[in-house]
This record gives sequence, C-alpha cells and structure tokens, in this order.
Amino acid sequence: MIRVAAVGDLHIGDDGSARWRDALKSVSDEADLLLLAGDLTRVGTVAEGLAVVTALELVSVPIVAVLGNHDYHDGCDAELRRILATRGARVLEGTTATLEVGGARIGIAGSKGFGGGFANACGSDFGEPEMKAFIRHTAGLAGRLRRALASLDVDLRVALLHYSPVPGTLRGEQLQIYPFLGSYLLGEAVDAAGADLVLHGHAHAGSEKGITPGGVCVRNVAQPVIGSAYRVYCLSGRGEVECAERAAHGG
Amino acid sequence: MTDDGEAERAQLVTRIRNALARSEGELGILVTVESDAVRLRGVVQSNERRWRIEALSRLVSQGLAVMNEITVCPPGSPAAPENLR
Repeated sequence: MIRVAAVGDLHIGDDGSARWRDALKSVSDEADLLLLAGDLTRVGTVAEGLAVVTALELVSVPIVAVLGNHDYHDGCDAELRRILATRGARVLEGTTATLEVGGARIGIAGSKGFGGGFANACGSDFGEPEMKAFIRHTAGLAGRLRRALASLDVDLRVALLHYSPVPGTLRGEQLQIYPFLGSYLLGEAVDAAGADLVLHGHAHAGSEKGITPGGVCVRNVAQPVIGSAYRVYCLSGRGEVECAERAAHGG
Repeated sequence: MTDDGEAERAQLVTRIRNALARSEGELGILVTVESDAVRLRGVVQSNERRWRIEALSRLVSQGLAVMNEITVCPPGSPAAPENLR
C-alpha cells in the first residue's frame, strides 16, 4: 500500500510558516510522500517561498508539488521553483516524478492547469488573440499533462494539478466562476492517458470528491475543503484503484 | 443605497473583491451585499486573517454594516485517511 498525503492552497504568507511546520510534522509518520497541489504562497514572493521551505523543514518523506495561480502573482515562479528545489521538493509542470515505495512504483505527472470551463459552458479557441491565448494556454498544459501521464511506466499514476479537471469537485462554488476554476481539457487529458487518482486544489468552496467522465477518482485537497493540514489517500500498489464514485457514475 | 440598486450592490461586491485581491492576495471570500449590509463568507486559517479581511472590507464598504461570517480553520490534525484500494 502506498500512502499519499496531499494538500493544496496552503497560502503561506510571511507569518504562516510556524503554523504549517507544526501541522506538517506528523506527515512523515502517516504517509510515504507528500503532494502539494499549488498555491503554496499567498502572493508568490521570494520571502513567502522561503517561508514555505521553513514550513516543510520537518517533513522527511519525498515532496512533489505544482505551483498555483497565487504562486505566479509576483512573477517569481522560477525563483520559487529554485527555492523549493533546495529543500528537495520536485516542482512539476508538464513533467513527472517517480518514486518506489514498498516495492511498488508510483508516478506523478504534474501541471498547474488552467481555466476555460466545462461541458456546455466553456470558452473556445476563437476570436480575439487574448481569448485564443487563454484557451490555448489550457490546451497546451493539458497536452503536456497527457503526454507526461502516458510516459509513466509505473504501478500507480497520479495526476497532480492546481485547477480542477471536472465540475464535480467544484460543487459549492458559484457556478459563474467555474470557467476560472478549471477545464474539461484537463479531464480529457487524464482520461486519454489513464491515471489512478487526480489531486487538485484551487476551489476553496468546492467539494472533495469527484470523478472524471472516464472514471478516474478526483480529489479536491484545497485546505479549506479538507479542513485539516493534509489528507492521506491509501492506494494499493497493484493499481486498479477502487473509487466509490465510480459505482455511482456507472463506470 | 436605493431599492433598485442591484447594479450598485454588484459594483460594491466587485470593489470589495478587487480590494481583497490586490491588498491581501485573497480570492477565496464570497462577498455579497444584501439590503444594507455586506456579508463575508469563506474559510481562512487564522483569526488575524479573518479580522484583516473584515477591516479592509469596511474601508471599501461606504459605511454599510459588515457581517463577518468567515470561519477559521487552521491547518490542524490530518483528516482521516481514505482507502482507495
């Protein structure tokens, strides 16, 4: 069994590292790895990046992360990646990380993702350059996510995102802002390549549990949603993850 | 604010949300204006953050009452594990 701890939307400001350091000190006893689903910082400054490193200093299991929209705000995303790398955290964007746990290999394909909306209410690659750039940004990230997932030759595959690939985990959010919370293109990428679990954040008022149209488990691990420092998901090393939502979905 | 001030209320919501985003990097608070009061809902990690958001909202709210219904959920003990086997 592989125990995956996950949380997103830590939003660590200059003042929040002690709170998170204490909250994460038990993660290495309870999980085999820690996945961070973006928005590690409040506004993406270097000082906040250093605060994130302080928050992670008691974590001894491998850490894999993606950045979120807040982490890009100050224009220091490259520096944030470098700072996190000094702590040994792998920051993914269209790339993968593989780990071996108890004889099983788990692969993580990560991307921030982006918005655009979902079936019947989504933007199109049409019109003004700005609109086309918006949708093409999402499509580009989704394509890289699909290729990264497909490249993983492992027992378990996890897609780590910040934006949501499905509307199901957005339940509780205002319907009008769904296009800014995720995109069906991400869900299509997951279904095309295959995965055992998708983790994302970003939707603070959303719901934890969802499923892609192809039947892949989706979990929204935004901290306000899980209501704790992290959630642990226990996965069989054999693959073929069972998902309670799959039965209801008919998958 | 006039009785038919739906547009005014929407503009005020927008001003408060923009102020929270620019000054606090905060996008996760639901802001509504009902009758003559601003209502704030959402989840933050500390009481200090909760009060900072209220204080900024009051500054922008043109003297309207502010009902702070933001809850505090610090990153505490982990939630129970979920088995996905």
